[in-house]
Amino acid sequence: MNRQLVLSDDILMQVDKPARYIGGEINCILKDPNDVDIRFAMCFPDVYEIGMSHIGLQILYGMFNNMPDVWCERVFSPWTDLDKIMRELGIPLFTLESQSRVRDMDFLGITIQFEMCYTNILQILDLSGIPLHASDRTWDDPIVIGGGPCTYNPEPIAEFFDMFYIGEGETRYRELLDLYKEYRKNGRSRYEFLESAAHLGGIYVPQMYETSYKPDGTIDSFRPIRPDIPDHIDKEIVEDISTAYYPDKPIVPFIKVTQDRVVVEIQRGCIRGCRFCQAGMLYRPVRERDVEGLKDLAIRLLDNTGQEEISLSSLSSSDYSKLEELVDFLIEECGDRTVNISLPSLRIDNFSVDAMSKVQDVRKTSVTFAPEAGSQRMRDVINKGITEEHILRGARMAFEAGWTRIKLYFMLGLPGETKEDIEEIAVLSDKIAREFFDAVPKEKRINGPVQIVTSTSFFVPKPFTAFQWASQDTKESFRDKAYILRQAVVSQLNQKRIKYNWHETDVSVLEGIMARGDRRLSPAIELAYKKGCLYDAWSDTYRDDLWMESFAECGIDISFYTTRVRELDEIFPWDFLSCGVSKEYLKAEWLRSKEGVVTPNCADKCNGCGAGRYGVGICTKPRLSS
Amino acid sequence: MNDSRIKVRIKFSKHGPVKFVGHLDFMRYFQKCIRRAKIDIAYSEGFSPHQIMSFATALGVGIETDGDYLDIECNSVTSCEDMMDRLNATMAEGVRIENVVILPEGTPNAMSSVAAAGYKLICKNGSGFGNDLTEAANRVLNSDSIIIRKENKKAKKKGRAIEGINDYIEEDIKDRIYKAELYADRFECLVDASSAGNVRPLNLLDLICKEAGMTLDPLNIQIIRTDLYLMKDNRLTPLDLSSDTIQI
Ligand code: SF4
Repeated sequence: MNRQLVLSDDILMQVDKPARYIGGEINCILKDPNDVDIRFAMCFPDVYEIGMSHIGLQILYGMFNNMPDVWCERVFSPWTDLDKIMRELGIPLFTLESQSRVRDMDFLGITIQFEMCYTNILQILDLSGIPLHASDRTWDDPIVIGGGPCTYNPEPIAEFFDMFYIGEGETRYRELLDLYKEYRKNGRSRYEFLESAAHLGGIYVPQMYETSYKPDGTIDSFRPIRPDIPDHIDKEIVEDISTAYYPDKPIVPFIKVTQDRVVVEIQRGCIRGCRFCQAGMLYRPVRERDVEGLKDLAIRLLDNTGQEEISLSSLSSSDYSKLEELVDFLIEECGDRTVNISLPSLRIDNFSVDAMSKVQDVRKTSVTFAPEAGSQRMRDVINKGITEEHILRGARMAFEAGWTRIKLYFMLGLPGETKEDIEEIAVLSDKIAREFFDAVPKEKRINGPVQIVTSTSFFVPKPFTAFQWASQDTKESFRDKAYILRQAVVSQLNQKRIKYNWHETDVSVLEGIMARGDRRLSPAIELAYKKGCLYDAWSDTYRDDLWMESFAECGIDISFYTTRVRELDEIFPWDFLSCGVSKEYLKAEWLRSKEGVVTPNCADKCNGCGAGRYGVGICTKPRLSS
Repeated sequence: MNDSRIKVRIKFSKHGPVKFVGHLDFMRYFQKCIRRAKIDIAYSEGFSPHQIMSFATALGVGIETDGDYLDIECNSVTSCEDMMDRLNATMAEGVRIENVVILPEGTPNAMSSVAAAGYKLICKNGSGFGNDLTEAANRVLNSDSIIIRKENKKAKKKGRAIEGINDYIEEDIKDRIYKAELYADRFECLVDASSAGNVRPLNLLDLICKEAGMTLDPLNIQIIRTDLYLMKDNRLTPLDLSSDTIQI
C-alpha cells in the first residue's frame, strides 16, 4: 500500500527536486503509530541533501527506531520554492515517513551543526505551527530539543527551545523518554516535565535559568531560578565507543546528496590541540573504535545499502592507530566489489600516498593540505603541530607519485597575525610549486605542470577553544587581508601556477556574532527571520542587509560580540556548560599561544586538560603525564 | 562485448510517490538494488568501473508505469525467478520487478528495440471526461489525418525561427496511433514510441480537448505507461514476451 503524501501532485510537479519530500527511501523505517508510545521528529534544519549527509542524524534515527516504543521520523527544511507554497496554502510541515504533522509529534529534535541555520530553525517551528517561544508552548506542541555542536553555546537561540541535550546522544535519551512517558501518563503539566528533565545529566532547560548583566554589557551572573536546579551541566559522553550503537542500515536517498556514500566513524575526538578548533575540544577525549568491529561494519553497510562508495569519518584519520590495517582491508574488499573508497584528508606520508594512489586516479584528483597558517610562527600560535619541512616533504611524495594538483587551506584573521604572516601563505604556496619542479624532471611531467589552489577562510573565534577570548577581525580588515595575500601571490615566481580563492566575509561576521552570542540576540534572530532571512549558509539566499537592519533595530552592537577584546576573567554565556576541558586549561593555552609556545598532543603527553575526569579513551592510556 | 556475458532484461513497475524520482536518480537507485540483491552484474573497465545497464526509455517525473524495462549484462546468473525474488526483496515502496528474462545472444538492446508504448491517462479529479469529449474523440480519431503542431526545435536552436512562419511544424501522426479509446474516466492509447516517431499521448488528448473546445489541464491527468512493445514480424509484442526470450 502506498503512503498518501501531504503535498499534491500539482505542488510536487512545480517544485525543484520533489523527491526531497516523499520519503519511502530504502531502509527508512515505517511503524504503526498505534504500536508506539512516542513519536519523535528528527530535524536537520537545512535542505534534504545536506541533512541526509549528516552521520549524526542517521545514528540517532537508527537508535530511536531500535526502541520498540518509539517511532523516529525525519524532517528537513523545505527549499524556498516549497516554503512559499506552504505559506500561501497554509500547509503545515510534515514528517517524511508517515507524512504526519510535525506539531502532532511528542518530540521535535533539531540537530544544530552550524550557526548559520538559526533562521531555518524558526522556519521549521513556524511552518509546523509551533509557537516560536518555548514559554508560549502547551502540551499541544512537541517538546523541542536541540543537539549538536552549536548547543555548546545555545544562548542566542535559548528562547526557542524547551531543552538542549549537551553531548553525545547515545547516553541519556532513554531516560528522558521514560520520564516523558511517566509525566504524560500521570497527567502532569508540561512545565513540571521540563523542571524534572532539568535534573537529568546533560539536559539544559533554558527557562530554568536567568542571566543578569553588568553595565558594560558583560554577564554579571548566570544562575538557575531555583536552588534545586543544577548550576552547571556536564556534557554526556559515550564510554565505550566500540559497543555504542551504530546504524548498519542507513537510509539510502533516492536523489544525490552531498555525502553520497556510506560512512564509517573510526574514532571520536581528536588528540591534536589546535587552538582555533572547537570540535577538537568538544569531543575530547579521543576514543577509537575497535578495528575488527569496523571491518565487519563496513561489510554490513555495503551489503545493506548497495552504495558504491565508502568513506571514513573522524576529525583526524591519520591518528587512528589501526588505520593501515583498516585501509588495507577496505582496498582488498572494495576492489572485489567495485566499490570506491574515499579517503578523508590524511597526513601525507609513505603509507597514505601509497593508499591514495591505489584508490584514486592521480590525474583526476588532488592532494589536500591544511597548514592553516603560512608562517611557522603562526602555526605555533595555533598549535598546528606541523612544520614547513613536513609540508614540503609530503608535497614531494605526492608529486613523485604522479599528482600535480594540490589544494591548500589557510585561515586569515588569526590572533596576532601580521602582514608578514599573511604573505608567508603565498611564499609557502610558491615553495610547494618549486618543490614540484625540483622533484619531477621535465620528461616526467606527463600529467602537466603543477596546479596549486590556495584557499583561505576567515577565522571565527569559537567557545571552548583557547581563542574564545580573541578579537575577531572586521569585514574591512578581512578584505584587506585577502587583498594583501592576493598581491603576495601575484608577486611569487610561480604565480601562474597558484590560484587563490577566498570565502565571503559577511557570513563570517554573522557566524562570529552567533558563536559567542548571548540571550540578547534572540530578538534580532527572530526579526531577521520575519524580514525574510532563510538559508543564511547559502550565498545565494544570504541577506546581509536584512541581518544588519535587524541588529540595528534591536539595538545590538555587533562589535560587542566580534571585535571586542574579552578580559581573562569575563563570564562567558557558555561557562555554565562543560565539555570536559576546563576554562583554566583554555586560559593557559590562550596565554601560551601569545608566547608562541606549542603544546604536545594527547598521544605524546597528557596536558591535563580536564577531560581526563571522564576516565575514558586516551586519558586512560599509559603515557608521560603532566 | 564479452561473449561469455549473459544479457538479462528486467521489467518493472513504478507507482505512487516514487514516481517523483527522476530518471537519472532512478538509474542510480537501480544500480544500488542490483548490488544489494547481489546480482553478478558485469562492470566496464577503467578506473571507475560502472555497471553495464541500459534502460529502454526514460520515464518522466510524475509518470507511473506498469511495465518499463532495463537490460543488464551479467557474468553469471542463477535463475530468472531467483533474480526476480532477490530484486523484489530489496525494492522501495511502489517499485516491483514484474519479470526477468534472459536474452539470446545478439538480441538488440531494449533501447533500440522499442517500437510502441501503451498509455493510460487518468482523469484525477474524478469528474471524468464527459460526453462532449467522447464525441470529439470519435471525430479526431476517425478522421483521415491527425495533425499535431509542435515547436520547431531545430530552427529555434539555430536562431532561425520566425514567429508565425516556421516556429511550429505540423505533423500527421495518424499512422503512428495504433489504438486509441476514450472512456468515461480515462484515455487509453497505443502509440509509436520509437526514437524517430515518438508520439506523446498528452498531445493527442490535448487535440481531442481542443476539438471539444476545452483546455486540458495536464496537472489533472495521471499518465501511466502500461507497457513497451517491440515490432516482430509486423506484430507488436511486449519487450519481455518476444518468443526469443529464454526463461530459466
Ligand atoms: S586529559 Fe590529557 S589525555 Fe585526556 S584529553 Fe586532556 S590532555 Fe588529552
